[in-house]
Amino acid sequence: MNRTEFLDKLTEALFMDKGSLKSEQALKDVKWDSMHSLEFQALVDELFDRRVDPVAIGDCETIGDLCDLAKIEPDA
Amino acid sequence: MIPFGPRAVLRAIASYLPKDLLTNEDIFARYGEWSPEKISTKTGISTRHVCAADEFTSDLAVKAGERLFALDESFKEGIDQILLTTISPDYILPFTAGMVQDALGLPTTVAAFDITLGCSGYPYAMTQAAAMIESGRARKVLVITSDRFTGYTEAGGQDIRTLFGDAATASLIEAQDDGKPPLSGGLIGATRLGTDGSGALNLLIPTAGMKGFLGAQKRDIKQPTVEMKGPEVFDFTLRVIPKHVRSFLESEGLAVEDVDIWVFHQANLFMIDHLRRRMKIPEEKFVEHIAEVGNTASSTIPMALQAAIDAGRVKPGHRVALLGFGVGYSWGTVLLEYQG
Repeated sequence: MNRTEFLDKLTEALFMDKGSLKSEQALKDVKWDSMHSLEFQALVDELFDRRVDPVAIGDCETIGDLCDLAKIEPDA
Repeated sequence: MIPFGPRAVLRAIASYLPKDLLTNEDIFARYGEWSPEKISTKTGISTRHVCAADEFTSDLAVKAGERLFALDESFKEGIDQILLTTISPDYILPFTAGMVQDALGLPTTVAAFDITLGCSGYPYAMTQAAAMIESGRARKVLVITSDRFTGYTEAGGQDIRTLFGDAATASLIEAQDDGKPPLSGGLIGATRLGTDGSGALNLLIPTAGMKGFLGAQKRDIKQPTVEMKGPEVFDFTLRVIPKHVRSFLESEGLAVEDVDIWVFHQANLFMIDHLRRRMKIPEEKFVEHIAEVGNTASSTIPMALQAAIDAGRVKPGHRVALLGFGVGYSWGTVLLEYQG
């Protein structure tokens, strides 16, 4: 699964419009909150059976940082 | 392993909810963040019951106890222990169970004590009650769960104000002797408990307790307020709970599909539904009871179990698993065999 496909699934989980999340977007600009973090953790767990370090989530500043943390490769 | 001798049976559960309500509309009006529909969709919660200003944990506990005794007057006779789980006691000193003993009119021969646990409190209290009965040290134990938890959320943010409600439950655990006809209710079987104190500060009320009063963590706020690191707590449940359940069931020679009814601590619908899917528990075996009450700490499991019994979902011969997890971190599972 590439990053675009992952972000499509994340936007769906967060009730956002398709295509509205981009790697370069700042989390504060999408009003990212703790429930969004939970959705992100759950999606990574469900899709990849992978754990995301919850403390490191707090250090992320952009959507791309979150994807890097979850080891989701950028699109080719 | 369950020893030979008397066994412990969960005979009955009663609950009490304070009458005032806190709705999603109330929360949206105050915080202006999530819409009422979004709160409902994400947390599974529409309303929560909240205590009146002069209503506290012991009051809820007494009301639940009175309702239990109203179910059958024989329930009150011969009680020899009260175990009361709370994380919002009326006072730090004295403990709450003593005041409840007096208010319920139970004799001074009753042993009463508090268990300071939250979301894992009910499995712990059930395990303790069963151990007392199976060892012959008690015949009848009153297990009470009670919290005015919204006292810790009034001054907090939307995330914690959204999740929690107030409630109390009272459960009667009674001895069933060898060779006697089975008592109605749930026969308490194997239990497994766990603790990981490394997560202690991720769900915390930093201004209560001696360290909160005197220590470096004291802060300038008007009332004790719970602080929750949601991603850390969720990560704990993902890491620990499925493994705990799998290992426990394996040690009992069981698999997930051998359990007929699952009653999880009702933390929030998003979290428990994710755990359910990851543990491959079918929806028809899973109890959700959160929409009208919210997360009521140690009261969620007994209220959800009683709701499932009332709905006819729990049938004689069913194996029921009660799973609590949360603050501490602490967790526990109790198996019940429902005897009708």
